[in-house]
Amino acid sequence: MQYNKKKHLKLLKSLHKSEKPRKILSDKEFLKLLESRPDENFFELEAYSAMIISHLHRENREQYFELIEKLLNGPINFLQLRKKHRAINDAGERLEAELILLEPNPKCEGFDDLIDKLVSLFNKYCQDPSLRESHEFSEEELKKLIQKIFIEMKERYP
Amino acid sequence: MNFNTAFAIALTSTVAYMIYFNWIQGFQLVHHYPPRIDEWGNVNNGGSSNVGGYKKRAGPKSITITGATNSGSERNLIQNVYSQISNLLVEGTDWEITAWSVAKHAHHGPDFGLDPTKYEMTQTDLDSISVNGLINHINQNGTLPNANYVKALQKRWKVFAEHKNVRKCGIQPVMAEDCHVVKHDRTRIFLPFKSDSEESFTGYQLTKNQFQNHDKNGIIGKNYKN
Repeated sequence: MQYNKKKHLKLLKSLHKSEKPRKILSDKEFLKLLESRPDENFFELEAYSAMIISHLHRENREQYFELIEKLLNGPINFLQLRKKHRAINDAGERLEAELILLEPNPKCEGFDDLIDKLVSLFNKYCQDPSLRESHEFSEEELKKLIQKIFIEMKERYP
Repeated sequence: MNFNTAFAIALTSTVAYMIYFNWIQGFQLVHHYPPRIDEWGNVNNGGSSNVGGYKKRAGPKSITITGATNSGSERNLIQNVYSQISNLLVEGTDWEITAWSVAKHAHHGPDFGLDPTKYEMTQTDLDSISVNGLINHINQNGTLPNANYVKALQKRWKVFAEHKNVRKCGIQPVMAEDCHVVKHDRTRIFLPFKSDSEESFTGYQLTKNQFQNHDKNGIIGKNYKN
């Protein structure tokens, strides 16, 4: 799918008429949020948004690389990396909310897949061997997988 | 007496009893309760844990603590702390929302609109649970997720799973576990239930990219073990 800035802006403007989602919700507000259903343009809008966010992730790759190297060469602490990942996702949504759009570089395609994959690995890490489930990783296994993704990132997105 | 007070008294009594008992026995006897919180990180499990996922009403696993046998896995340890919170059934299914799985994923509460500060918890507590896991978070003197917070998040999971606008995606792999997956398009929140045990597994908001990939391939999290 090709990025179309004009269409993206148009879709965002139409969305702006509806209520913006809030972060903290009462039980009633949460239920109301679930009542909301995607309209016909929702999936196209989500695809454009994902492209902008992928662009932001790639543009910050040096910072990611630095954090990944720190993780590989020291003790496992992925909080900074996870926070960076979340902050960039949030930043993309904030830009959209203010109707500030970027022109995604086609070279960024796939970078978000790799960074999402890497961050998802943390959900499967269990530092304590006595509590580790069969599907969970030890530090050694986790570092090996991070290394593999890191090599691919550096090769594809120098 | 409200639930929080009862919970705090029960927890304090259990820990005090365990400290006293372990002091008297020097850990030489067989224990039939979980280790005290500050020993959770020192347990040694003799075998691989639960390859096929937890079975409903499965018995406790044997865990050795400094030479003694103790009943407790991650599940049991957490479950014992929140034993006063009942599991919730998702209407129209056999799926159960267990208090222990909700507590284990307490760090995802804000994805469901919960404010941790309303429950005497901070974002730092949630960050610590997310990085260290709940048990190591407690071992490192972290705050135990408030029982009311666990109950509120459990209720949100139930409301979510039962809502008419939440899509039932069928059985799909989630981090290499076969799960019944339900997902809400607008919020990108998903909730999986393990297909073998029918128990809740996790629940959080997918990124836009993960959401689209899941729509295309029906997979969440690659299976790196095979």
